[in-house]
Amino acid sequence: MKQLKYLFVIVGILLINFSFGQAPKGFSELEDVTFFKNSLRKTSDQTQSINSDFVQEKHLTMMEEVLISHGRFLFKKENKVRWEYLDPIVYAIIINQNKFTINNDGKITEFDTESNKLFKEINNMIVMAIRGNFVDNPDFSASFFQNKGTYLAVLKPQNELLENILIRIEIYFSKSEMAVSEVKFIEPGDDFTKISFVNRQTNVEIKYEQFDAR
Amino acid sequence: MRDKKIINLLIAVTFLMGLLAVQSCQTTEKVAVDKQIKLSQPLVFSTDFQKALYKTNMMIYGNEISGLTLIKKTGSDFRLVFMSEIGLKYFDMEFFSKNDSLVIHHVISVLNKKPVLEILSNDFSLIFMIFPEKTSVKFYKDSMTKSMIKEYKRKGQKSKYIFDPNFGTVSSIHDKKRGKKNVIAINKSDHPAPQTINFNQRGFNLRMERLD
Repeated sequence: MKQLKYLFVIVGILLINFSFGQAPKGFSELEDVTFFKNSLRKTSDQTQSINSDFVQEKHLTMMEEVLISHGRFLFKKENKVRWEYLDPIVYAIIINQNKFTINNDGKITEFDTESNKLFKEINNMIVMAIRGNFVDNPDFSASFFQNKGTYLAVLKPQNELLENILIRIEIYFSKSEMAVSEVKFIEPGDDFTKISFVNRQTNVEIKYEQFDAR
Repeated sequence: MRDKKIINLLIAVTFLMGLLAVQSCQTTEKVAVDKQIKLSQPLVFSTDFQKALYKTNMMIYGNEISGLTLIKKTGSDFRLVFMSEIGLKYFDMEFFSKNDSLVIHHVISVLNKKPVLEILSNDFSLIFMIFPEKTSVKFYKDSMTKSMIKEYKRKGQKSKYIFDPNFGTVSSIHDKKRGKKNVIAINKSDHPAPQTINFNQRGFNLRMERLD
């Protein structure tokens, strides 16, 4: 009986260590997830628009260098999004009234998301990640962590299509603004894309023409 | 009797003219292999090529995919990653010149189909100029354009590289595999990598434009 007790204690210690071991470096597990989710919902409700620059870094294990792109992100309620690359390529994804349009250096293509499921899943995932509105999204399981200035949500895809493309998504929120400061897409093989948002402005005027692909 | 002679003469002259016409259409002449030692060898990527980044548009069986392609050379092997603008990989392939082998490190499910992978592995092997051991080589000269043609022939496939004999720059590749024709147009520059590469065959079109 004593031996069984010791066994339970050892297993318990191992489990605790294991759970702490799951937290990314520099973060600890978030205990009050409800508070975090409610804060996110509140911020999302209060956000009518977002205008932000971004810097994207693509890290490939086959390369020593990092591929860097620059762009701009616009959001206007309810669901208008403009995700635009300015350098080294000119490319924009525009979501307006549930239509996906791509402006590929002047060439405009509208996508039927119903016939292109993969495209729809990838773009929904990207918009969800950069807006940070993943709460209660059934396509992802979520774990939450924090440090002094940042919340971190780690999302793992539960969708077969996305599982083939991504191992997990890490979304970093600044505690001061409850806004997405960084997103990381980690792929199989440990290659990853890191997107950092800079010069972020919320609730500024954004003209409707910005969401017109033409 | 006399009419018969005239008719026979006409037939002979017609035959001779036909022969001459066929001869004049043939603009290529075979050049003996030993003469090639003095000519530049055709190369799509220069010997000092290390890496290049391409803006890429692919149309495959009616579906369009765009993004960036990174090509890196290590020794005589090539690695190629095609990814979306947001950095998500469509495929990651490595071509080894020794043993003419290919390793697919990653491919998304929608492209992970045998016909698609065959097209991609064949076409990229052509631009990396990786051939199996039992490949015979011949040289031809196009007397009209002054270009040289280097032909690689292996089982079931023949690939012709049209190139400038002075610099070795390849302008196009004409490939025929099991009856299927494929043309790859290459626009070279002073850079060790081509400026543009266009793959064109039925059901598949790929355009790459160098960014760096």
